[in-house]
Amino acid sequence: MLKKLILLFFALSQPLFANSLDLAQQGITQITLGNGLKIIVKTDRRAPVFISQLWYQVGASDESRPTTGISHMLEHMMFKGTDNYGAGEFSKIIARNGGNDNAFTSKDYTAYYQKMHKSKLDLAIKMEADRMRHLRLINREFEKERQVVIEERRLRIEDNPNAKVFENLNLISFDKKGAYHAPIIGFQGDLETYRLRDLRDWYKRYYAPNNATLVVVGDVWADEVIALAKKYFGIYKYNPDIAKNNKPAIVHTGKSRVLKLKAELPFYILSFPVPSLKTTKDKHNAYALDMLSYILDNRLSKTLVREQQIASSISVSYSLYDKYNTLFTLSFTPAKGVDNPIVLSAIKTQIAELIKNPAVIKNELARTKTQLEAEFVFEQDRISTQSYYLGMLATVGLGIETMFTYVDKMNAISTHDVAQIAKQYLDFSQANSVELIPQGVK
Amino acid sequence: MKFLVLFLLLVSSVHAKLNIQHWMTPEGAKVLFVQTKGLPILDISLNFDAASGKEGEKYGLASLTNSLLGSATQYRNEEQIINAFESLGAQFSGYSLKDMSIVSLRTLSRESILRKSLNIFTEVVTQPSFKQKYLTRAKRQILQSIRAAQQSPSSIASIAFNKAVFGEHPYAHEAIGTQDTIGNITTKDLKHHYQQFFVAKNLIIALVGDVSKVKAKQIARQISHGLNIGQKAKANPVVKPLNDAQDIHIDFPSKQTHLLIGQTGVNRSHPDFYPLYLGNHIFGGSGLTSILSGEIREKKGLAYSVYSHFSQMQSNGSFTMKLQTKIAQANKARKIAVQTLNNFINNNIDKQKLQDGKDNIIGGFALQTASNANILTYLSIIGFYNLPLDYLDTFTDKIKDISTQDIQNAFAQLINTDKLVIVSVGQKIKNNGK
Repeated sequence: MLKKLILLFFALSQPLFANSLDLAQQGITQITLGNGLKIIVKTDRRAPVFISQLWYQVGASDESRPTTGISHMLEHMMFKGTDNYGAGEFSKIIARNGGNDNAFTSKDYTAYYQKMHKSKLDLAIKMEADRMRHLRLINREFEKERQVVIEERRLRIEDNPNAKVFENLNLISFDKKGAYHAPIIGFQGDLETYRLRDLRDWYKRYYAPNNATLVVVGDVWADEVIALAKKYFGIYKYNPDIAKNNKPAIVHTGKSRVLKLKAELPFYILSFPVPSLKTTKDKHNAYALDMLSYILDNRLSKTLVREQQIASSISVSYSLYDKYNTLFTLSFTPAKGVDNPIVLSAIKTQIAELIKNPAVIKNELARTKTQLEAEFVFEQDRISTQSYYLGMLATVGLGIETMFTYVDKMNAISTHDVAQIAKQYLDFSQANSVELIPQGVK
Repeated sequence: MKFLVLFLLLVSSVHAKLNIQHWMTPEGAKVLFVQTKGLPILDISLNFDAASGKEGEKYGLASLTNSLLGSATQYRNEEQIINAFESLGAQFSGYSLKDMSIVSLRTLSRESILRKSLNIFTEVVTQPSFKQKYLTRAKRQILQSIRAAQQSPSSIASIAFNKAVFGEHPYAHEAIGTQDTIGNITTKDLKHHYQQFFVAKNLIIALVGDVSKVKAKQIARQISHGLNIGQKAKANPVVKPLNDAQDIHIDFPSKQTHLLIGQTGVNRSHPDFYPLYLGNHIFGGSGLTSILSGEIREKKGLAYSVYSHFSQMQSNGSFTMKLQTKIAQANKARKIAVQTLNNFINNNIDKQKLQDGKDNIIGGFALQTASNANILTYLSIIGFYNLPLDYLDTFTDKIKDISTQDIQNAFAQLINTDKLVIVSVGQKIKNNGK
C-alpha cells in the first residue's frame, strides 16, 4: 500500500514525441516470454544505476472477507525466506551489494523493486525470480509479521483521523461484494485471523510468470535484461489456473456517514461515481474527468482557500488508472470557525458557474496543459517514477503507449468538454460523503 | 509497503564523480553548479541562512517570511505570479527549516521559457512586497497546521523531544512557530527579517541542469544582483550537552505509543562524522537490515517502523531512535531499544555487519546522485555547510577504512545512555513499569 512518492507525480504527458507511438524511439523495448512473463526495458544512461521492478496483477481489489489485506500481507512475507535463502536474507544480500529494495501493494497490483549499481543487474533479477516460486512460508515468521502489519495498520489508519475518513468513504461507496470496498491493508479482524494456508493459496494462485511484468529502467541494455529474465524466469511454467479476476466495483450512491473522532481538525470528503480510463466506453470522457480534476483543484484553491478563505485546504482527485469504476473526490478542511455547508455551497457555486459558462476556464485550461507538458519532462528525472508508470499501465491492462499519448489526449480537451463532463458526473444528489467531527484529543 | 520510506533532506550520504563548478557572484553569493545532459530541465535552489535558528524570540517569523515570497512583488499580485509560473510550466516553491530557508525553481531549460521563468523567479525573490492581507491569511494557515500537529502523536512526540534536547537553543522550537508567538508578528518584522537575511552574502545558490557554465553564471548573477549585499548571518549559539536523563510522558488517546529516545548529536564538521555516520547506518539507519530493526521488528514483531537518525546541522543536532508500538508493549519495546543501544556501544560490532554496512554505502553510492533533484540537494548541503567540494568524491574512501573500534569510540564519546531523553506519547499504562 501507500504511494507517498507516487502521489506527488500523478500526471504524465509527452510533448516531445507527442505524435509518435514508436516505443523504440523512447528507448523502450517490450516483449513477452513464452511462459507469459511480460518484460519492459527503458534505457536511461544518465547515471550508472537501474531500478528493477516485478509487478504482479493482484491487489486489494481481488480480495474479499475474511482475507482482506492478504496481498499486502504476502508482500511482507516475500522478504521472509525461500528454499534458497533464509528469512531477511533477501534484503541483506541486496544491501551488501549496494542496493536498496522495498515493495508496495495497492488496489490493483503488488510490486517489488531493487535499485542498484548497473553491475548488479544479474543479482537483482536472479533474487526476484527465486521468490516468484520458491517462497517458504513459515508459521513462526508469519505470526511475527502479522503483528508488524497490525502495527502498520494502527500507525497508518487507526491513529490517523483523515485516513479513517478515506477508509469509511470506500466502505459506503463500494459494495462489499465488489472491488475497492475493503482497505488495502485489510480489516483488523481479518488481519488477526487468517492463516498461513490462506497466504499459501494466494501465492500459488497469483505468483506466476503469466501474471507478472518485469520492468527495468536505467543504464542497461534491453538484450541483457531479456537474456537474464529468460535465464531466471524462463524455467517457470505458464500457470493455466490463474483465475482471470473479474470482480468489478459495485457503486453505491447517496450514502453519507459522520465520524466523531478524537481529532482537532474537521475534514469533509464527498465523492461521485465515475468510470476509469479502463472502464469508460469513450476514452475521451476519462481524460475530460482528469482535466476536470486539475481545473477544479486549481479553481477551488484559488477561490475558497486564497480569496474567500473559507477553507484551509481543498483537494480534488480522480483515479484515472484504476482497473474498475472509481470515484471522483472533493475533500477539504474548513477554515477555523467556518461550517461545512458554507464551503459546500461555495463549491457548488463554482461548479455551477463552470457548467453554465465554460469560457471562464479558458485561461486555466491553457495553463494546465502547459503544466502537464512540462511535468512529463520533469518526471523523467527519476527512474523510479518512469518504471512506476510503465509497470502500472501494463499491469492494469492499459498498455504502456498510454503514457506517451497522454499529453495529446489532454490537449484535445476543450472548455466545453470539461463543462459537459462536470454536468454529467458531478450530481450532488447522488454524491456520497463522510464528515469528520473532531472531538478534541483530551 | 514493506517499510516506511523516509524523505529526510538532512540525511547525508553520497555518490561518484560529479563535476562541481563553483564561484562567487560579485555581490558575494556562493554558487555551486553541475551541468547535466539528457533532460531539458534546470533546477535552482536558493539557500539562505535565514531559517528559524535566526529568528530570535519571534518563533515562526522565518517561516512566515519565506511563505510570503511569491504572494506579491512591487509589480505583481499573487494571482499574477501564480499564473506567470503556471503558464510557463515552471514550479516555484519555498520552505523554511531550522537552518536553511529555501526558495526553488524547476523549469524547462529551453531559452524562451527559461528566460521568462527566471525573470519572474528573480522578481519574486528580490522584490517582494509583504502585504498585511497575505500575512493575516498565512497566520491562519499556520494556526491550522499547529492544530493538525496536535492531533498527530508523532508530531507531539517530536515537538516535546526537541524541546527537551535543545533547551535554550533555537533548535528547541518548531520552525512554524507557536500559537503564542505567531499572533504578534507584523509585516514590519517580515521586512526586517528579509532585509537582514535575504542578502547575497548570506546565500548559497545551487544550480543543476542542462545549461552551459556561461549561462549558469548569468543566472546566478541576475539573482544575486537583485539582492542587497548585506552580511553573513552570525553562527548559532552552541548546543549544550544534556545534564540529566529526562523521561517525559504525554497522555494521548492513540492506539500506539510513540517513542523517541535520544540525545544531543553532532554538527557536520564534527571529527567523528564518518564513524558516526557508518555506525548509525549499521545500528538503525539502513531499514530492515539494521541492528535496531532486527531486534524490535524482525525478532519480536513489535513495530512496523523503527529506526535511528542523526540530524546533521549547523549546530549540534540530535541523535534519535524512533518507533511506535501498541500501548501494552511500549515498555518492553523501550527497554529493548535502550538495551540494543547499550550493546552497540559496549560490545564489538559483528565483523560481517561492519562489512555489510560499508558495502551498502559504497556499492550504492551512484544512486545518491542519480537524479538532478538528488544532485541539487547535495550541492545545497555542500555549499550551505561549507563542506569540501570533493565531499562526494572522497566519501566512500572515508568510509572504507573505519574500524569497529572507531565506531565504538565515537558512539561512546557522544552518547551517554544514562542521560537519555525519552519521550513517550500515548495512553498511560497502569502500574507504570519503568
